[in-house]
Amino acid sequence: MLKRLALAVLVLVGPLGATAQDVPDGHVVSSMTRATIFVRDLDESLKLYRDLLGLTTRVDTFVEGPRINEIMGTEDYGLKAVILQSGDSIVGNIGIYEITGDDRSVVAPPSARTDTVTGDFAVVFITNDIDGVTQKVIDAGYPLISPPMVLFPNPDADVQTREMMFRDHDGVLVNLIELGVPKPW
Amino acid sequence: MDRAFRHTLLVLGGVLCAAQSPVFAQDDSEVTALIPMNRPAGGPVFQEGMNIAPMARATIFVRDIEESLKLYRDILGLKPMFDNYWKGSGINAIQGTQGVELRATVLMAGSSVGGNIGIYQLFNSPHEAPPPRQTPDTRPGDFAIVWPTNDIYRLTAEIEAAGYPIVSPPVSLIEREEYAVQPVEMMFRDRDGVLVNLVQAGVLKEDN
Repeated sequence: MLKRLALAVLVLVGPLGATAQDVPDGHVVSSMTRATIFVRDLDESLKLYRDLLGLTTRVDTFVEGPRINEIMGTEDYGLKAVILQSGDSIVGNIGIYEITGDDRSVVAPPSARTDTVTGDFAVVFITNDIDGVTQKVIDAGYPLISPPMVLFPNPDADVQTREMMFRDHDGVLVNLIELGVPKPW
Repeated sequence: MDRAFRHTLLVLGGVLCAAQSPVFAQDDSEVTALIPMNRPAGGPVFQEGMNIAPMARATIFVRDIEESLKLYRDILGLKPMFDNYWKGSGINAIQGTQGVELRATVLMAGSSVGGNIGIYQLFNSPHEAPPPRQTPDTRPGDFAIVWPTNDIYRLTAEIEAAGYPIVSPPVSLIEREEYAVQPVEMMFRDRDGVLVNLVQAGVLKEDN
């Protein structure tokens, strides 16, 4: 049990000791450590964020006990928790969490809309291969909101910034942006 | 006219009056910078073998952007990178919408290209938003944003006084001997039901 509780600290407190983020001068919070999605099926989510987008695993654990339930405002549930990162960054990670043993009301179906509405959440990543990633997203059957496109043409750019958006299997919007290149003169 | 909608128009009108001149694209796209851009230094870093950089931001499509700013800007103290108002076909194409306008604000701690928060409000959307989840627990389908802080107890008092639903007060998930001050975290919901998780690192004992 002690080992499990220790893992709970790794999962939810994260920035401890040497990896703690400094709070910038004049601020009371530092940059977002991660956005966490409480998913319906962790393994299904990993197919996207780990296998397709290529993020790597920082933490992969299972937590249970009174303290994890206290922070979640729940009772007697477990938590499967994976935190993914790009490279070794401790900023801008993504948490993929699945609550286990949840006997509460049936989970509402995730949104599969192909438009954006109030109440949506989006995770925004910069990519260097928007066309390659988009093809994989299409092949895997995720609902596409928009293909790679120029949002606002920049006359000073040699290559325009493009972005695309789709929904993951929990209805969370994923917005990928490939930055443009300025003209060399 | 609905009171809340009239309030939004008044606030937006005030903001637009102070804004810079709009910039137009070759199509009907138009963007108005409501404040000068505060561009962070540097750019995204792709480490070897990665096609994706660390998350630039988490964006929430809120019901009332001014209400959201009371939390993220005024209480949590995040600073704006930009605050733009978008119209036209470009923004609608990327959103999969038609005839919708967007106010988009991105807030950051210090000056950072990663780990920011986007607070976006859609205008003229034909879809009415469902009531936000305000329960003091965590459920599948929830979305949480996690920030380290160095002032968790004062922030918690301010958050509680402002009436946000508290999921958990500051608690230590495990008491560890090597810490003189234990790491703690708390969680609450914002006005749109998004979970906000604040974590404060512990202080090691001097002999550690």
